[in-house]
Amino acid sequence: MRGLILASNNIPDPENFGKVLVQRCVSYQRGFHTTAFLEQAGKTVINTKDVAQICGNKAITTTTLEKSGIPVPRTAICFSIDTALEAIKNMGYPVVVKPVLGSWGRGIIPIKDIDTARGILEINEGEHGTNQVYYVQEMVDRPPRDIRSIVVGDEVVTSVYRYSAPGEWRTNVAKGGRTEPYKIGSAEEDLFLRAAKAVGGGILGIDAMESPDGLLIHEVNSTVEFRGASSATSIDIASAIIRYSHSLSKR
Amino acid sequence: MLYKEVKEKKMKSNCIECDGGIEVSDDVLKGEIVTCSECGQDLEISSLNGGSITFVKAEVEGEDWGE
Repeated sequence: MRGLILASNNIPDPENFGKVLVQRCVSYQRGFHTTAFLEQAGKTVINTKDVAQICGNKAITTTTLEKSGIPVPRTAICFSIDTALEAIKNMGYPVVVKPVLGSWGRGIIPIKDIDTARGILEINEGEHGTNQVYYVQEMVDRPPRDIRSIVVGDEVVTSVYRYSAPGEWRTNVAKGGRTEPYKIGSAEEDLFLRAAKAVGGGILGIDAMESPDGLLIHEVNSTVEFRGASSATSIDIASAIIRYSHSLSKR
Repeated sequence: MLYKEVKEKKMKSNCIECDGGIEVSDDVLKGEIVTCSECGQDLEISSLNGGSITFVKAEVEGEDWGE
């Protein structure tokens, strides 16, 4: 999407946009704002702008999940280097610092000592916008993998392990991670569905880490990509998305 | 001569950043990305009209791109 004019007094022609739309824009800001305008014009957009807003910001995702009793990694939000260093000291090294806005593993940095912490935080200090928010999280003691579940409506369509690529600690498929099928149990399935409901539901990619105390949900993606999940299983994710969208068009 | 050399046909245009000359194969498609060899700018072919090419600057991954 290079350009689109949506004005509040220029409601999109239903013939061109239909009743139900699936938001797939690769840019969060463009997707979020077009969704807002399309909803205002009476369209059903999957996912809603409220879901996109919660999932588009890791800090808001974490606090929303925690409010609903979903287990999440210990997390602190800080606005200065001093408070971030204090939060890290309380948490204990190693920790992970993540941009609150971003994807594909971009800018996610493991920090093992105070010198690195200070350096990384100082680099961010000169940044603008959400980069001035320090999202500090415990480094969860996990296997070199996480679990990605794709939730469509009230169903976990598929779950896969995502293993880090050689020489890489992040598990993102965008960073070369490989996927393998994961057989989900009923308790885990319930957790993913509760997490989906907590952020408002829809079509979601929910990521969990296997901590010594059980699964922790660390991310919910509202424009879920499923190349990795598709390659590891025979589940037809695209068809599940179409069926769900179709069911909403009949409401 | 057992085989004859097939000469690739080229279309000529200019970079919208530095005005350097750019040659692209005549079988390019709209939306393809070419890189200016003079200044390194990535250019997206926004339209093809006969032998005339229009470029726009190619978008690079933004910090808000992703899932």
